[in-house]
Amino acid sequence: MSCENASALVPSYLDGELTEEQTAPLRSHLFDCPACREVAKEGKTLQRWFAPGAALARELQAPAGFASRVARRAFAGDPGLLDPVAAGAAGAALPMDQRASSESARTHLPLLLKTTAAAAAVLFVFALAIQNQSLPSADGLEAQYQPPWEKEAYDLPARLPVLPPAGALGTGRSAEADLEDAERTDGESRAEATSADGR
Amino acid sequence: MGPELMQPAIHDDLSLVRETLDGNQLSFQLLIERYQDRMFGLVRHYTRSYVEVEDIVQDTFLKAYHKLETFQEQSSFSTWLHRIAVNTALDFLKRVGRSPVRAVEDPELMGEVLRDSPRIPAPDAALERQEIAQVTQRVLEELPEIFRTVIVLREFEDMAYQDIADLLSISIGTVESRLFRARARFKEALIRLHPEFAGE
Repeated sequence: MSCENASALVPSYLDGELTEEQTAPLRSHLFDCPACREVAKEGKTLQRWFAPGAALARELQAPAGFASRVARRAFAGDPGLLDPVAAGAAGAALPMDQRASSESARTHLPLLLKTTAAAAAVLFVFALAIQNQSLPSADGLEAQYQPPWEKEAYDLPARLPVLPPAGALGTGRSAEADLEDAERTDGESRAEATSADGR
Repeated sequence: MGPELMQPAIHDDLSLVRETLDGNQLSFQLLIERYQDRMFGLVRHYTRSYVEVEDIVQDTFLKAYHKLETFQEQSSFSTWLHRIAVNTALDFLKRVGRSPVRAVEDPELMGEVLRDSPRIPAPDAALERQEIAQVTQRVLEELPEIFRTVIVLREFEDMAYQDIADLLSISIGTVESRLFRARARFKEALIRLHPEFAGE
């Protein structure tokens, strides 16, 4: 046996793939040829790098109840989570109502996407229109005095007492009297504003 | 009507496959129990995460169930299941962006096959087997997909050339040449990633 033939057979020999007829002459050659024997030793060395990983992998175990859980899911028509293509193909194994629902979803997906895009565009235009309408304009600005407690009165529930102006605090006046004062003051302010506009 | 839970009478793979196809859930459960640990060990060579291993193995069995009608009884159920597991693992890695490099066995694309592949010493006796396993795992992750898979099947799963050929739908000659290249690439990557392991 030539060294070329021998070294070509060494990997198969180390993997236990040779027949006895092939192995005998190779053994004989390796006994006589240090160079080819070195090739075989190199192959054995490489196997030693893989042995620990192989042993550790063999020790790995499935969690308790794995088989019954997966079998139950398979029989329930679960196509799995990782492969959407397989999930689609496995749809054939789903019950008819689930399969129809799945196919319907796929058929209507383009239409649904277009409708969503159109709705988003309409909303965008609508939002722009609202934004333009609410922008402050110099035309609507008026220098009109409105007492803060009166403004408060519109915001608060009707039965809550309205705070009097700071100057009125501690006078023992009733809330009704304060409101009357406030309305009177408001009326005077409006009259002043009207006359100012009229000038 | 719900799935049958009859105790299977005969326990060889083909009988369990046929009983599963007849609607016996317990038969499929027995098939899973028979192969689950081997599948966990196999998939472990493609990801370090136990959670991912469990997901991939679960999907492997779910796919196997849904494709069971296409199972040709000429090949063994074990080989068929291994093929699904390898493909599921590779698909998963591709999906999460950790796909091993795809390669074809074209010398122009693969570069020169290392006829005189680098020499490597045996793993240091001081290294724990866990450490050695981590080193080989990391080196394997560097290899193109076809080389990684053939090493996993031969070195870790201890599969015969014929079974690897059946699983990968290639000839035994291709298995031999692919293994030769894969081992050379493994040694080259081992020394590149871990120069401290370079031989004298």
